[in-house]
Amino acid sequence: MITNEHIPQNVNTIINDLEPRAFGRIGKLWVAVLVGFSLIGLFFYIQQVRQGLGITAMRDYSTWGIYVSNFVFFVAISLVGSLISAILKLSKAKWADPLTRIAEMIAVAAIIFAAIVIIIDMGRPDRFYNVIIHARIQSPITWDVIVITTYLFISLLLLYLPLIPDLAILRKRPERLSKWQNNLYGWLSMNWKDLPVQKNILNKSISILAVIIIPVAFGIHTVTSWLFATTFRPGWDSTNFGPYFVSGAFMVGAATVIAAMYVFRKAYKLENYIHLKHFDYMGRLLVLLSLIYLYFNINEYFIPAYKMKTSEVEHLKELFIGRHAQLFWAVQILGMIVPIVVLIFKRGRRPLPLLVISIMVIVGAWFKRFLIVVPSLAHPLIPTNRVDPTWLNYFPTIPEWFITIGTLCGALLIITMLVRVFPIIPISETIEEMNARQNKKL
Amino acid sequence: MKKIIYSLVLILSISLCSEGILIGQDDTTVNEPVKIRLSLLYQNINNTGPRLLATVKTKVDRSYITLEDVNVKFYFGDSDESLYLGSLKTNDSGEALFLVPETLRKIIDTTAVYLYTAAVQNEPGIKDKETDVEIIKSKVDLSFYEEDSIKKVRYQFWTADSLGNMIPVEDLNPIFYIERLFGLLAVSGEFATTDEEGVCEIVFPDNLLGDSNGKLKVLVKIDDHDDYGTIIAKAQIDWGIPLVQSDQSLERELWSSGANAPIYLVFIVNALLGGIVFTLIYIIFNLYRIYTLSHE
Repeated sequence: MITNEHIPQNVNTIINDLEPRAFGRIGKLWVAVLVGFSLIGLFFYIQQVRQGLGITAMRDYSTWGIYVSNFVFFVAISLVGSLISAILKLSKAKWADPLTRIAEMIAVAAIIFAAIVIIIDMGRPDRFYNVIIHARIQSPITWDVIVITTYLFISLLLLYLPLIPDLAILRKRPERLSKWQNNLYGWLSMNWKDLPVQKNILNKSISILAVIIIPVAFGIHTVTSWLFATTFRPGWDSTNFGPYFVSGAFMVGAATVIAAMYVFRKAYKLENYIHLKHFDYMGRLLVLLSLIYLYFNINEYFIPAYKMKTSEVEHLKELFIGRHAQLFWAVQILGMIVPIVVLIFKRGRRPLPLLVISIMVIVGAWFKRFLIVVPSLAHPLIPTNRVDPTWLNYFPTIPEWFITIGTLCGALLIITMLVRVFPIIPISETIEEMNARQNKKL
Repeated sequence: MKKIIYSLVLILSISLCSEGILIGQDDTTVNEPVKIRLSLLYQNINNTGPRLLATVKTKVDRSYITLEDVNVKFYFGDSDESLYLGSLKTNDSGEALFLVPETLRKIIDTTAVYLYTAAVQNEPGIKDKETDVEIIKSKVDLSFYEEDSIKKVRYQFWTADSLGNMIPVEDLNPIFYIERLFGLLAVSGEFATTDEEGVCEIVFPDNLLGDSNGKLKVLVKIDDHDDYGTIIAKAQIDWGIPLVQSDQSLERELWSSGANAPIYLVFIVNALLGGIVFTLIYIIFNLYRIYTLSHE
């Protein structure tokens, strides 16, 4: 029996519990580590700009490496915003309300770094300007630029709009706020008066955003998949790629929210707001999404393996029994099969096992993107005679690893800073739910 | 004790041997001139006179590499009794292609058999080397004609007899090519052979794309023959299918330039984008309404 659904019955307690808090010792250490790795990543990025992409392991065959797999990973993570804030909200899954802000914060951080990573991959950052001025509307790259920008804007609005009443509530207690917080909250809350007409406009706007973010979210990852699927390369030349990417994105997004809610619940003592019920439901959701992803994986690998077209043979052999086999089977089994098996059982959906499984899913998802991007590039359609062996065996260089780790830490830093500045759980919605429960009792 | 003495003797022996090897190596590193391989090929294109191709290579680690910037001297005749033709430096492929000047050709063209010599002499760091090639004088003719609507290429080959008279050569195997963008397309196969009149004919393929006027370049080659060298006959004929180039970049297609994107795509993308932008503007307007309501 999943219990522990207590919500404090006092407005002040709720506000006190949910207001942003200054970092403690561990929090400061966490920020220092993230800043440190981000700066190391920045240092290597400056080296890359100065010396060129030659410092990476990307060569004529593997023109995309971990930068692009990292980009796909970030885009995938960002879809969680639409899953929790839109799909679950529109399907009246009220239990997910406390998780909406966590999901939106993750989505905003991920999509910002998706855009940054792709500029890193270009080598010289000014090349992005060329992408804009020489844009071809026929190119999936142009569609990707458009849809990422749009998704970022919608995600920011979907993060911001529900924050307005919360910031107004926090601003009513200036004695508990620092000066910068007071100014920031005042500016962002636009002197919110909690008028019924304001509430009406705000709820309507949030609902509209929740509707339009769904096709944009599907668009962002489908277009990302088309960057691959519009080519004839083995492993990419698939009509299955759009749904395959989207389902994988929802799966890793759900796992990220689970990991985040476990950490925030522990760090900020939010047991009264993020209940065992939330872990259980998110665990069930993760099983469902993993099963859908498994279905698309079977389609993606089984059918080509059944046909073994000449162009696909080398690629599939490398994945199944070749040099990428260990990573491939580890990702498929530990990142997908094991989570499904464990999360089917109720015990597996308790917070700690669920956290472990979620981390397995996230790590597996990162390496899965690597397996999607890199092995296909080792088999060009027109191979070169006596090719340099370094072209065939891509392994990221130290600068690539540190730049990638820097971007991952940068995304975590944005989430951490958002958590420092804004409430993690929507305060006004929690108060409304408390009022609704009290009215129901009466 | 014995063991120690044996060990010392062994170590001393190995040391002395090693030293000997090292000393030996030192001896070989004294600036000895580099041995080279010099080859000479004779070419003639459309009877325009001799072209002498010399290639200079040297052996490094069991494989030959070409040598650049080596001066090669060309002679008519052998080294004892010869006419100096001129000299050239090898290019980055180790090759020096010498075209015998018109003025010298008249002097040379008095015998049926030619002897050409290439020599690398007095080059710093390079051991002197010379090589020669003996060639019998020859002549080719390439013509085109049409018979019963069948297009044919006619090739004829003569050589000089001992009296200097030009006589046809039988049983030669010229290869007929047509020049394409990235190489030569063989159109005769391996069994085209000259008859007793020195003639070899092939049917010209009627399905080849030419330039915008249908022009094709035909090349007939006898490659590195022991007696005649490399003899090439070249000609141009407008028997190809004229290439009609349509400027597809100006059509509205998926693969066209950005300015010529298909109308339906421009419409769909802009409609989708417009719909979203309009919605977002509406949301921003709603934020403005919320703001104004707070200040009323």
